[in-house]
Amino acid sequence: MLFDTFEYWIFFALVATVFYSLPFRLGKLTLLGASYVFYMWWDVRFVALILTSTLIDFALGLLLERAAGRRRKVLLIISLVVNLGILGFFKYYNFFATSLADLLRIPDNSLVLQIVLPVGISFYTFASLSYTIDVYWGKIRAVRNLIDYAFFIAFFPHLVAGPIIRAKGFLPQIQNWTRPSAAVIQTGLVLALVGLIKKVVFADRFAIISDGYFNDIAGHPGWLAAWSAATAFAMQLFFDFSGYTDIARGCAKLLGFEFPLNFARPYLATNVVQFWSRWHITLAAWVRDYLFLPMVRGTRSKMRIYGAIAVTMVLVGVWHGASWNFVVWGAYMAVITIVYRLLQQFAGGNAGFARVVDCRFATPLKVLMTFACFAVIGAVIFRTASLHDAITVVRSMFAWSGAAGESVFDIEAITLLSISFVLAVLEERLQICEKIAIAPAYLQVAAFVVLFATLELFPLAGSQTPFLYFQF
Amino acid sequence: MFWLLIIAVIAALYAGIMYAAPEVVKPSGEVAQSRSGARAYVTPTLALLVLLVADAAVFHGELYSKVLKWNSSAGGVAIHVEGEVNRVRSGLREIAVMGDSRLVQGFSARLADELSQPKGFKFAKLAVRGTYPCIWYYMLREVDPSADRYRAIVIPFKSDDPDAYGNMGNRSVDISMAAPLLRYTDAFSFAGSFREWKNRYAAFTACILRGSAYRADLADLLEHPAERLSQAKRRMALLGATYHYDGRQEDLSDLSYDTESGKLTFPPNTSSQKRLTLEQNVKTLQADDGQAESPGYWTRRIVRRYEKSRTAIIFFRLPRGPLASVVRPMQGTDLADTGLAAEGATILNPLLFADLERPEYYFDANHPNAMGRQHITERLVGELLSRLDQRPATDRLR
Repeated sequence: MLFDTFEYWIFFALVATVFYSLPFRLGKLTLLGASYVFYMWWDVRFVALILTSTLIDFALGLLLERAAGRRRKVLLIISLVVNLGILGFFKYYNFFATSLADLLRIPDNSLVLQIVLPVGISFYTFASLSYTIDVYWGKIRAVRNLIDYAFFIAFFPHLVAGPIIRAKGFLPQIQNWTRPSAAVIQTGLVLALVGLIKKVVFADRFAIISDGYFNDIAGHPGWLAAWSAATAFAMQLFFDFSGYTDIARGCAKLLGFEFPLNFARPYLATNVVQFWSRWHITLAAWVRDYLFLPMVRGTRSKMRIYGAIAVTMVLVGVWHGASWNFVVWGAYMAVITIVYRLLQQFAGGNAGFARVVDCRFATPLKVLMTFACFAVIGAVIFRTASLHDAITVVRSMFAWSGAAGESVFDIEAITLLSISFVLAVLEERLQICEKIAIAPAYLQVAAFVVLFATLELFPLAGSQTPFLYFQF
Repeated sequence: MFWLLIIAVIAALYAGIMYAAPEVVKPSGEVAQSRSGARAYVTPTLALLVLLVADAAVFHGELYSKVLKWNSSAGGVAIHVEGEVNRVRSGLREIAVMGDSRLVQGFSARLADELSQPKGFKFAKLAVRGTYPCIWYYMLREVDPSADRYRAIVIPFKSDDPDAYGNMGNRSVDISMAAPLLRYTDAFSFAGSFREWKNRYAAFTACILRGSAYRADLADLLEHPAERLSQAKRRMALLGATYHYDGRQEDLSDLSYDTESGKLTFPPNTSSQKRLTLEQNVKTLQADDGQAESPGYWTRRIVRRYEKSRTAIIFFRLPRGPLASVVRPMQGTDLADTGLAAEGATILNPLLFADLERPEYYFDANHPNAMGRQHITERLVGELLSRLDQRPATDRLR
């Protein structure tokens, strides 16, 4: 049941109607039941996994709070082993098996198992882990109510593709739920509509363009073809994932819950650090808080910090998927992050260089470079089926002495790119979406008409691409 | 000029980013809690009403249907219906011929008129490629609102289920094809005729918000506005030109099928696509058990619409393909078993076109060529006249 399907919205309307017609305690149970139904829609068997993870971490949370000394550490390790064990087995077993088979030069399929990857496992595993780690660190108290905890893990808007929510921010919302105001509901509606538009109008169109190139790389020679296709995929990835997140946040708001921001015009970032504060913000914050900071706590060693950056980025890459492409993608991200830090240090000791870099007129160039490094080249490694393909495309991108080839962009794609750019700039400056809910009624009506009409008239006819982040 | 454009684009990008002045993102605060929950739905509801009115003005009226791409699925249906609605009645006894691409290629209204006008008949061809009984029902409802315009309506028997036809798997095409003819009151019956909920939803929406069925067309209009507007002006001339179309000259004379080995021999230079459809055609014929499929909801609905009318509803079987007479010769058992006759429809002899199921009458796996077109038209007209000519106009044919 994907967010851009008729079934989902019927499901949501039914669930919301029942939820609001019951007292919150019963409504909460309804939402929990609906969340499990939503999850079972893909495969009934998956629910066993999420229930196992929920029960174990709920129990471990309570035990952690009561335990002291070495026992606490043992309990945390149990939580890590169970959660990461389940994730590792379902997501990475076959990757390691085929890599080992390659190493031992035995047939690939001799070690491979027929494993179906449960949707959203990476997202709810991280949500669950954040809970036990926070209890271990004493940042939050263990939750006493199993229903509340199960609801935090399984609440359907975030279940299969985030944003990654944390117990500290979400559990108090369950305990102190109040009926949302008109402005909150309208913001939720705007977010859901904007998210749908991002997916069915923008992402699906860019998907057709990028698929045309990446499914037949050899048939599209030249650097212009490679750059334009990589840009198309970068746009698809952004609109697809941020569209999903917007719908998730919108649906949560419509039910009176708040999810954290996950995307904030990432392609307008002027540098690496800013990029990660705008792209998949909840994942970046998760790895910062639970992986990077613990590794560098108390250290001043630059080498150790760079090592921590490398480990964190490679793990972020691997989190996205079990393939060497994602390992290389993570390593690539680590390299440019470290290079950026080195440049920052250099600028710190060189006033002239710093003046040039910080000059306002340099901002567009910085945005362009960050976009090219992170979004476009990164997108190639992310999108291609194998490392060999990734290398082929990256080589094409920099083969400037050869033929340019043909751009994969047609007039429609250029129009979409222009609209995307204008909307991103306006949103960055004016935050239009958030202001609709507090605008005068006539402006609200006009805004909703535009959103509804866009959804009526401009989705790509006869085509639907599944959300990319479901595979993670 | 090109470089000036590039410089302008770069300048616009530069200025845009400068204007945005991106910094570290500031998470937005909580939305103001200023209004009560009930008011939340007022403005979205008003917006929906505005959208409904705007959609009705633009898409339900004639405004948009005049600029529909004339050779698209929706445009093809719209232009044929518009042409037929506006056609001045001949004063003769009129016969409407419905059909899909096989009739587009396989029937000549001009030849039919030449053969029948001396006897007081006039043919109106309402064949549009890709259409099926559902679309024919809605077309007839538009062109013949009082169900008494025609002396007879001739329909090639075809399944109601477009999934039965390989090229019709994409149901969004069916919905946009029907769109120019849909009314608000069709929402439930039209949506209900689809099996999948996704299609039902799209069909329902197409009845209420017709623009949703014109997405591909609208994208094309935005991409080629000048071309489309000029086409819109010439659309009736384009339709008129089809009346004088003589059919395709090429044939499949060198095509053969060895019944012993099951081997197909193609004419030289046959494209891979054509080979594929010919192979598919043979497979379909081999799987054919000779029994007529029972007519579906839309076929029966057409028959019932004319139940109390003097208009005769006449069904016939088109020749099945260039190799049908070799792979599976036509049997006598046919549409008579379907129950349509019992409901008042007339069924033509199933063997009427049996000897036309040969390669020399086809230019591809499904479509008759010019010679096939001529023979089909002559025989169909001859058969119809022999049945209709003898009877007074008020007499319902049986």
